[in-house]
Amino acid sequence: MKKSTRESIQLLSMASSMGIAMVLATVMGLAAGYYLDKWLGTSPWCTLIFLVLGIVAGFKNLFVIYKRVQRMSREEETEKKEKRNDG
Amino acid sequence: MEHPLMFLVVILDKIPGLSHFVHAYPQVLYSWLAMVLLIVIGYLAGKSVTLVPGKMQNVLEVVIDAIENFVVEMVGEHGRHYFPLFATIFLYVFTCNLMGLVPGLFSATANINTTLSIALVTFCATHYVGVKHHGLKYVKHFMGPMLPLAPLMIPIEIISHLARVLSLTLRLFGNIMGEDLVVGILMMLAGKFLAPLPMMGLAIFTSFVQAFIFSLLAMLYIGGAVHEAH
Repeated sequence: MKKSTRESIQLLSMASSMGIAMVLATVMGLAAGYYLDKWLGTSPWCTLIFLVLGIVAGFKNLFVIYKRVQRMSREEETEKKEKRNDG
Repeated sequence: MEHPLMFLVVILDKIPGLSHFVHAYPQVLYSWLAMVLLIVIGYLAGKSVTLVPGKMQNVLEVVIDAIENFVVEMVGEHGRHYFPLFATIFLYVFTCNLMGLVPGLFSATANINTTLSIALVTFCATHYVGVKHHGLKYVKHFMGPMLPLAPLMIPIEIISHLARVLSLTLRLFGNIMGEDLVVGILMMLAGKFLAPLPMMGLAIFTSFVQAFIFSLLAMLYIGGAVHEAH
């Protein structure tokens, strides 16, 4: 298998899980905060804090995938340039 | 989803004492059936391993070889060690998915408990592999780029790792459940005119894709646990 095919398969699988992972991270944060509040009786602080943490976690996932895409396209460009210089 | 005609449930219902179990947990019965199927196929192929493979051995060798090459491509040489896990996940999920298309059978993966169990195995394996390869340093990987940010990063990392489990679970469950439901509804609406046939063709494709994506994500997560923390 070529390197570019392998990278694009990896990227495809990550991208297919990206949307749902973002939503689920937010929901997980909210749920964790809600039940912590119920347990500790500190309404509404834990809910708010964990909701924000969940949203940040969701966006962190997006950011990691974005970094990978950026790196991949940069590598592709340098490969193309090398080919041009060779030819 | 309660299915009108599940032959295992009907047969085992006759045995006294089992009635409650088979009606409450058909997915467990059918996942056992998938396991029995895979074990029997593996036994038949492995019974007489020869240098010049027979029919059964030939087919299985092609499948296993393809999966092994793919694992090594994706995870690297470390991945060969965990190849049994990935191959098991792929073959088991694929068999379970396809079983929903046979009348009288039921996809075990169309129930959220089965998919959650597979996702939890993946999750535990990921962190086991991480700790095995990096020792206690693996925890550092959760702390983010610098130490002062650690109290903020640890909950974020934990949430995003748990979200992975949930997304693996829900993707497989949703796809297979939806596929079975569509086939069932079309069967009831216009079964006489073979209306579910094109949908079943599509369902074979989605079964493969879902099994493939599940095992691929397991590979990526475990590969990430091996490589990432430095």
